[in-house]
Amino acid sequence: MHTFHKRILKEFKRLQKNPLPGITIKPSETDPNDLSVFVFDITLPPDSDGVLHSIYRSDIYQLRIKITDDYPVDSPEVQFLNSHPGSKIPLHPHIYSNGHICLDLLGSGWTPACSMESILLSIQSMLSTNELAERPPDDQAYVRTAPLNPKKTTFDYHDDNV
Amino acid sequence: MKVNIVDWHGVATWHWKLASNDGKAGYVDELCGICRVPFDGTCPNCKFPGDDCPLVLGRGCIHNFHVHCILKWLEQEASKGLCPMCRQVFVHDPEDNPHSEEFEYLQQLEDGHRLLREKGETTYEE
Repeated sequence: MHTFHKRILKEFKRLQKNPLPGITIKPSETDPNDLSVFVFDITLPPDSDGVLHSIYRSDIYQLRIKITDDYPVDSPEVQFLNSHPGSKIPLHPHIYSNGHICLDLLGSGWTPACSMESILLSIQSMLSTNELAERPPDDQAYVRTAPLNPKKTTFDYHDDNV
Repeated sequence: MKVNIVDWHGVATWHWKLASNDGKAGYVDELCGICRVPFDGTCPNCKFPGDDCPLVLGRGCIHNFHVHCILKWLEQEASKGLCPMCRQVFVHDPEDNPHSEEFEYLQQLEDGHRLLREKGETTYEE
Protein backbone atom coordinates (compact mmCIF):
# COMPACT_ATOMS: atom_id res chain seq x y z
CA MET A 1 0.00 0.00 0.00
CA HIS A 2 1.11 3.55 -0.68
CA THR A 3 2.79 5.22 2.31
CA PHE A 4 0.42 8.17 2.13
CA HIS A 5 -2.65 6.02 1.35
CA LYS A 6 -4.76 7.85 3.94
CA ARG A 7 -4.09 11.24 2.47
CA ILE A 8 -4.82 10.05 -1.08
CA LEU A 9 -8.03 8.38 0.08
CA LYS A 10 -9.10 11.63 1.79
CA GLU A 11 -8.42 13.60 -1.37
CA PHE A 12 -10.33 11.06 -3.49
CA LYS A 13 -13.38 11.05 -1.20
CA ARG A 14 -13.43 14.81 -1.00
CA LEU A 15 -13.36 15.18 -4.78
CA GLN A 16 -16.21 12.68 -5.05
CA LYS A 17 -18.37 14.21 -2.32
CA ASN A 18 -17.67 17.91 -2.93
CA PRO A 19 -16.96 18.12 -6.65
CA LEU A 20 -15.33 21.35 -7.85
CA PRO A 21 -17.54 23.31 -10.28
CA GLY A 22 -16.97 21.97 -13.79
CA ILE A 23 -14.78 19.08 -12.61
CA THR A 24 -16.09 15.53 -12.41
CA ILE A 25 -14.04 12.63 -11.15
CA LYS A 26 -14.57 9.39 -13.04
CA PRO A 27 -14.52 6.79 -10.29
CA SER A 28 -14.71 3.93 -12.79
CA GLU A 29 -11.16 4.82 -13.86
CA THR A 30 -9.87 4.52 -10.31
CA ASP A 31 -9.08 1.24 -8.62
CA PRO A 32 -10.25 1.83 -5.03
CA ASN A 33 -7.62 -0.59 -3.71
CA ASP A 34 -4.81 1.04 -5.55
CA LEU A 35 -5.64 4.77 -5.81
CA SER A 36 -2.79 5.59 -8.15
CA VAL A 37 -4.64 6.78 -11.25
CA PHE A 38 -7.42 9.35 -11.35
CA VAL A 39 -9.27 10.61 -14.42
CA PHE A 40 -11.31 13.81 -14.47
CA ASP A 41 -13.66 15.50 -16.91
CA ILE A 42 -12.84 19.20 -16.96
CA THR A 43 -15.10 21.83 -18.36
CA LEU A 44 -15.34 25.54 -17.65
CA PRO A 45 -18.26 26.66 -15.49
CA PRO A 46 -20.15 29.71 -16.83
CA ASP A 47 -19.36 33.11 -15.31
CA SER A 48 -21.57 34.69 -12.67
CA ASP A 49 -23.72 36.22 -15.43
CA GLY A 50 -24.46 32.71 -16.67
CA VAL A 51 -22.56 33.22 -19.92
CA LEU A 52 -19.56 31.29 -21.06
CA HIS A 53 -16.88 33.67 -22.30
CA SER A 54 -14.21 31.09 -22.96
CA ILE A 55 -12.74 29.96 -26.25
CA TYR A 56 -13.31 26.41 -25.01
CA ARG A 57 -17.09 26.92 -24.79
CA SER A 58 -18.59 23.89 -23.06
CA ASP A 59 -16.07 21.39 -24.38
CA ILE A 60 -15.15 18.58 -22.02
CA TYR A 61 -11.49 17.60 -21.63
CA GLN A 62 -10.10 14.55 -19.91
CA LEU A 63 -7.23 14.93 -17.48
CA ARG A 64 -5.30 12.07 -15.91
CA ILE A 65 -3.44 12.36 -12.61
CA LYS A 66 -1.02 9.55 -11.76
CA ILE A 67 0.16 9.42 -8.19
CA THR A 68 3.88 8.63 -7.95
CA ASP A 69 5.40 6.39 -5.26
CA ASP A 70 6.78 9.43 -3.45
CA TYR A 71 3.58 11.49 -3.54
CA PRO A 72 3.02 14.03 -1.96
CA VAL A 73 6.74 14.78 -1.59
CA ASP A 74 6.97 14.31 -5.34
CA SER A 75 4.48 15.88 -7.77
CA PRO A 76 2.05 13.59 -9.60
CA GLU A 77 2.23 12.87 -13.33
CA VAL A 78 -0.47 14.95 -15.03
CA GLN A 79 -1.61 15.12 -18.64
CA PHE A 80 -4.63 15.57 -20.87
CA LEU A 81 -5.91 12.45 -22.62
CA ASN A 82 -7.11 12.00 -26.16
CA SER A 83 -7.35 8.24 -26.07
CA HIS A 84 -11.08 8.11 -25.35
CA PRO A 85 -13.41 8.51 -28.31
CA GLY A 86 -14.31 12.14 -28.89
CA SER A 87 -11.83 13.53 -26.35
CA LYS A 88 -9.44 16.25 -27.49
CA ILE A 89 -6.48 18.11 -26.07
CA PRO A 90 -7.36 21.77 -25.35
CA LEU A 91 -5.68 24.33 -27.61
CA HIS A 92 -3.46 26.40 -25.32
CA PRO A 93 0.01 27.97 -25.69
CA HIS A 94 1.23 25.87 -22.73
CA ILE A 95 -0.42 22.58 -23.64
CA TYR A 96 1.25 20.32 -26.19
CA SER A 97 -0.74 18.28 -28.67
CA ASN A 98 0.27 15.06 -26.88
CA GLY A 99 -1.48 16.27 -23.73
CA HIS A 100 1.63 17.40 -21.83
CA ILE A 101 1.16 20.57 -19.82
CA CYS A 102 3.83 23.15 -19.12
CA LEU A 103 2.93 24.39 -15.65
CA ASP A 104 5.37 25.11 -12.83
CA LEU A 105 3.03 23.59 -10.22
CA LEU A 106 3.61 20.20 -11.87
CA GLY A 107 7.39 20.48 -11.53
CA SER A 108 9.56 22.98 -9.69
CA GLY A 109 6.58 24.78 -8.14
CA TRP A 110 5.24 21.68 -6.39
CA THR A 111 5.23 21.30 -2.61
CA PRO A 112 3.52 18.62 -0.49
CA ALA A 113 1.02 21.27 0.58
CA CYS A 114 -0.38 21.15 -2.96
CA SER A 115 -2.93 18.50 -3.82
CA MET A 116 -4.93 17.04 -6.69
CA GLU A 117 -7.49 19.74 -5.96
CA SER A 118 -4.95 22.55 -6.35
CA ILE A 119 -3.75 21.02 -9.63
CA LEU A 120 -7.30 20.77 -10.98
CA LEU A 121 -8.11 24.36 -10.03
CA SER A 122 -4.86 25.60 -11.46
CA ILE A 123 -5.38 23.84 -14.79
CA GLN A 124 -8.99 24.92 -14.99
CA SER A 125 -7.97 28.53 -14.41
CA MET A 126 -5.19 28.16 -16.99
CA LEU A 127 -7.94 27.36 -19.50
CA SER A 128 -10.43 29.97 -18.36
CA THR A 129 -7.94 32.86 -18.58
CA ASN A 130 -6.61 31.88 -22.01
CA GLU A 131 -7.72 33.64 -25.17
CA LEU A 132 -5.24 32.16 -27.64
CA ALA A 133 -6.35 29.05 -29.50
CA GLU A 134 -2.86 27.89 -30.36
CA ARG A 135 -0.17 25.35 -29.45
CA PRO A 136 3.25 26.16 -27.96
CA PRO A 137 5.71 27.40 -30.64
CA ASP A 138 7.82 24.23 -30.40
CA ASP A 139 4.90 21.82 -30.34
CA GLN A 140 5.86 19.68 -33.33
CA ALA A 141 9.49 19.34 -32.29
CA TYR A 142 8.52 18.59 -28.69
CA VAL A 143 5.90 15.99 -29.48
CA ARG A 144 8.28 14.15 -31.81
CA THR A 145 10.86 13.61 -29.08
CA ALA A 146 8.79 13.82 -25.90
CA PRO A 147 9.04 11.03 -23.34
CA LEU A 148 5.79 9.26 -22.47
CA ASN A 149 5.98 10.55 -18.92
CA PRO A 150 5.62 14.35 -18.87
CA LYS A 151 7.65 14.49 -15.66
CA LYS A 152 10.73 13.35 -17.58
CA THR A 153 10.63 16.57 -19.59
CA THR A 154 12.36 19.81 -18.76
CA PHE A 155 10.07 22.40 -20.20
CA ASP A 156 11.22 25.64 -21.78
CA TYR A 157 9.08 28.36 -20.34
CA HIS A 158 8.20 30.55 -23.31
CA ASP A 159 5.95 33.28 -22.13
CA ASP A 160 4.94 33.79 -18.55
CA ASN A 161 2.31 36.34 -19.55
CA VAL A 162 -0.07 33.84 -21.12
CA MET B 1 -26.09 16.20 51.80
CA LYS B 2 -23.03 14.21 52.52
CA VAL B 3 -21.22 12.48 49.70
CA ASN B 4 -18.72 9.74 50.22
CA ILE B 5 -16.36 9.29 47.32
CA VAL B 6 -15.77 5.59 46.98
CA ASP B 7 -13.64 5.53 43.89
CA TRP B 8 -12.31 8.00 41.35
CA HIS B 9 -10.34 7.98 38.10
CA GLY B 10 -8.07 10.77 37.03
CA VAL B 11 -8.24 11.47 33.31
CA ALA B 12 -5.72 13.54 31.39
CA THR B 13 -5.50 14.56 27.75
CA TRP B 14 -2.50 15.91 25.91
CA HIS B 15 -1.93 17.97 22.82
CA TRP B 16 1.19 19.07 21.07
CA LYS B 17 2.19 22.67 21.50
CA LEU B 18 1.81 24.25 18.07
CA ALA B 19 3.68 27.27 16.78
CA SER B 20 0.49 29.12 15.87
CA ASN B 21 -1.12 28.40 19.23
CA ASP B 22 1.44 30.27 21.26
CA GLY B 23 -0.23 32.31 23.93
CA LYS B 24 -3.69 31.30 22.80
CA ALA B 25 -5.98 29.30 24.98
CA GLY B 26 -7.86 26.36 23.58
CA TYR B 27 -6.93 23.74 21.11
CA VAL B 28 -7.17 23.81 17.34
CA ASP B 29 -7.50 20.56 15.48
CA GLU B 30 -4.95 21.09 12.79
CA LEU B 31 -3.58 18.77 10.18
CA CYS B 32 0.00 18.19 9.14
CA GLY B 33 0.25 19.87 5.73
CA ILE B 34 2.13 16.91 4.31
CA CYS B 35 0.25 13.78 5.44
CA ARG B 36 -3.07 15.56 6.28
CA VAL B 37 -3.36 13.68 9.56
CA PRO B 38 -3.99 15.69 12.78
CA PHE B 39 -0.82 16.70 14.61
CA ASP B 40 -1.88 14.61 17.58
CA GLY B 41 -1.96 11.56 15.33
CA THR B 42 1.07 10.01 13.70
CA CYS B 43 2.82 10.26 10.38
CA PRO B 44 1.96 7.35 8.02
CA ASN B 45 4.95 5.29 9.14
CA CYS B 46 4.38 5.43 12.90
CA LYS B 47 1.88 3.58 15.05
CA PHE B 48 1.98 5.47 18.34
CA PRO B 49 1.48 9.22 18.67
CA GLY B 50 3.63 11.16 21.10
CA ASP B 51 7.38 11.05 21.57
CA ASP B 52 7.82 8.37 18.90
CA CYS B 53 6.44 10.70 16.24
CA PRO B 54 7.27 14.24 17.39
CA LEU B 55 6.31 17.53 15.81
CA VAL B 56 8.56 20.19 14.41
CA LEU B 57 7.65 23.80 14.98
CA GLY B 58 8.80 26.29 12.38
CA ARG B 59 10.82 29.23 13.65
CA GLY B 60 10.95 31.38 10.53
CA CYS B 61 7.30 30.65 9.76
CA ILE B 62 4.48 29.39 11.96
CA HIS B 63 3.99 26.03 10.26
CA ASN B 64 4.16 22.69 12.02
CA PHE B 65 4.78 19.19 10.69
CA HIS B 66 5.39 15.68 11.89
CA VAL B 67 9.17 15.50 11.94
CA HIS B 68 9.10 12.37 9.77
CA CYS B 69 7.00 14.17 7.16
CA ILE B 70 9.15 17.30 6.91
CA LEU B 71 12.31 15.14 6.77
CA LYS B 72 10.94 13.36 3.69
CA TRP B 73 10.37 16.72 2.00
CA LEU B 74 13.69 18.31 2.97
CA GLU B 75 15.54 15.20 1.77
CA GLN B 76 14.56 16.26 -1.74
CA GLU B 77 16.85 18.69 -3.43
CA ALA B 78 13.74 20.02 -5.18
CA SER B 79 12.44 21.26 -1.83
CA LYS B 80 15.21 23.90 -1.83
CA GLY B 81 14.88 23.80 1.94
CA LEU B 82 11.61 25.72 1.82
CA CYS B 83 8.51 25.32 3.97
CA PRO B 84 5.86 23.45 1.92
CA MET B 85 3.14 25.78 3.15
CA CYS B 86 4.61 29.26 2.67
CA ARG B 87 7.83 28.65 0.69
CA GLN B 88 9.95 30.59 3.16
CA VAL B 89 13.26 29.02 4.17
CA PHE B 90 12.36 26.32 6.69
CA VAL B 91 14.13 26.61 10.03
CA HIS B 92 12.91 24.58 12.99
CA ASP B 93 12.55 25.93 16.47
CA PRO B 94 15.09 24.00 18.53
CA GLU B 95 13.67 25.18 21.85
CA ASP B 96 10.79 22.79 22.16
CA ASN B 97 12.39 19.93 20.39
CA PRO B 98 14.13 17.06 22.13
CA HIS B 99 17.69 16.19 21.22
CA SER B 100 17.45 13.11 19.10
CA GLU B 101 18.82 11.64 15.91
CA GLU B 102 15.81 12.87 14.01
CA PHE B 103 16.39 16.47 14.98
CA GLU B 104 20.11 16.24 14.32
CA TYR B 105 19.28 14.93 10.87
CA LEU B 106 16.79 17.77 10.36
CA GLN B 107 19.49 20.29 11.31
CA GLN B 108 21.86 18.64 8.80
CA LEU B 109 19.30 18.92 6.02
CA GLU B 110 18.56 22.57 6.84
CA ASP B 111 22.30 23.34 6.86
CA GLY B 112 22.78 21.46 3.59
CA HIS B 113 20.10 23.50 1.85
CA ARG B 114 21.58 26.70 3.25
CA LEU B 115 24.99 25.82 1.83
CA LEU B 116 23.44 25.01 -1.56
CA ARG B 117 21.63 28.33 -1.53
CA GLU B 118 24.80 30.27 -0.65
CA LYS B 119 26.77 28.45 -3.30
CA GLY B 120 24.02 29.13 -5.85
CA GLU B 121 24.06 32.81 -5.01
CA THR B 122 27.81 33.18 -5.46
CA THR B 123 27.85 31.38 -8.81
CA TYR B 124 25.02 33.59 -9.89
CA GLU B 125 26.96 36.75 -9.03
CA GLU B 126 30.06 35.58 -10.86
